[in-house]
Amino acid sequence: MNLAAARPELRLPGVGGIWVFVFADMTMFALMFVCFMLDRHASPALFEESRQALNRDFGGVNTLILLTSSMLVVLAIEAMKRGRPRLAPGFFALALACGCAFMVSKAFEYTGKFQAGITMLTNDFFMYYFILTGIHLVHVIAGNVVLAVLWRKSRSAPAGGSLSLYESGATYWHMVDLLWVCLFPLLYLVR
Amino acid sequence: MDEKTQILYQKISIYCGPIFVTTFVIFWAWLGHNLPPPHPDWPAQAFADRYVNHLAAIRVGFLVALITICLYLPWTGYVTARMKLIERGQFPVLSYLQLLGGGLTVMVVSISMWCWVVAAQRPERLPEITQMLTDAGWLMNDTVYMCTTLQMVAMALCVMADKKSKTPLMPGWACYLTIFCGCTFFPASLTAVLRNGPFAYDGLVGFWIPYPAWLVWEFVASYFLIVDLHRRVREERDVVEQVTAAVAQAAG
Repeated sequence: MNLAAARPELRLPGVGGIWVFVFADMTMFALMFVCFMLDRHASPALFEESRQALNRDFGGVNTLILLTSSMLVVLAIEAMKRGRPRLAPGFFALALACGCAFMVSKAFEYTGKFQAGITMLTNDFFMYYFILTGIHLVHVIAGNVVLAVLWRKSRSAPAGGSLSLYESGATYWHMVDLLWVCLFPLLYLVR
Repeated sequence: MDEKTQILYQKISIYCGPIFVTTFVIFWAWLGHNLPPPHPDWPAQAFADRYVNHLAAIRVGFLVALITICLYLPWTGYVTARMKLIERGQFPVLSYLQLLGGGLTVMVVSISMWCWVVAAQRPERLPEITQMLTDAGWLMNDTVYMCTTLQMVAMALCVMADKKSKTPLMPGWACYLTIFCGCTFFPASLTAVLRNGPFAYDGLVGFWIPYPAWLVWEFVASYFLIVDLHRRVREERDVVEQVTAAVAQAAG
């Protein structure tokens, strides 16, 4: 059987270029994760002791928030694909609300650390903690802007219009989610 | 100016890009002893020794690189003109933003090297002062990058929005790569705070990713600019030939 004929709609979602961006961005994060693991290997006691000062509840809640938000974006795209574009703005708005909730939660988490006298300069673990989660937070902020744009656009989107803009935005947002799913165990859970 | 001369200057302007990258690697990185960069946590004496031990190479390296950095200007000039072809009309704001970004990039990188030229002028001065000049040079590059980021983003956005051309100036992936390369500069701001590890000015995120990203972009963009120039010249020649043939036919 001809494979291409059996799966005629096999294609990359979104514009091709966004995948180049995603690949480059994730490579950069992967390199930073390697740096973290190497430094962790050099002083395991310090990293373990500092890790225990992190609040795993915050990390867990943030993971749930981002996973929910990713699911909402999937639902929005599915609604548009299935010819029910009126449902999409609601899903995008809820996804955006999750993105904002993540920022608020991070603000509380950082404030708690600062009040305990912990900063980026405390030790190597907290340097990585603040920088990795900080760079990720910048991605979340950018992602919220993307979701806001998609929300606005989807309100006036004609049924059956091109999905590539929406899919590109969704791809970026899933990457932000995936990065957190890597970051959370790396910083909060790995003993 | 006749057309042939114009195209010659356009070609020279584009080739200034890769020539700049090559000279930058040779004079700034290799002769200037910036590969690897000095370690920000060294004691002051180590900074002074670095200049004393490699004085001639460092002086020649940065003095030549200060001249060849200006090859970035004609390249930026060509990119601006080419972008105006896409933007058209009275408000080519992205083209102008790219022009300003490119011009200021030359100033930022020049001021950074100028700090090191000053340090190398009197290597016998107090080591703490040499250390400070070296730091100042690095932080000039690593914290004042936004002009370059804007230059790159403006170029990418302009090319991506080009719906009229049959073949765009750069393919989509190159535009997204341009934006990514511009964004790799952001974590370099941390070099102002951290003096050790991957985020310091000799670290992976402070040096080994953003500097190559800038040069790789310059190469990739230059490649597509040259391909585009050849295509444009060919298309214009075809149009002229068709018109000439049509006129000849009508006259005959």
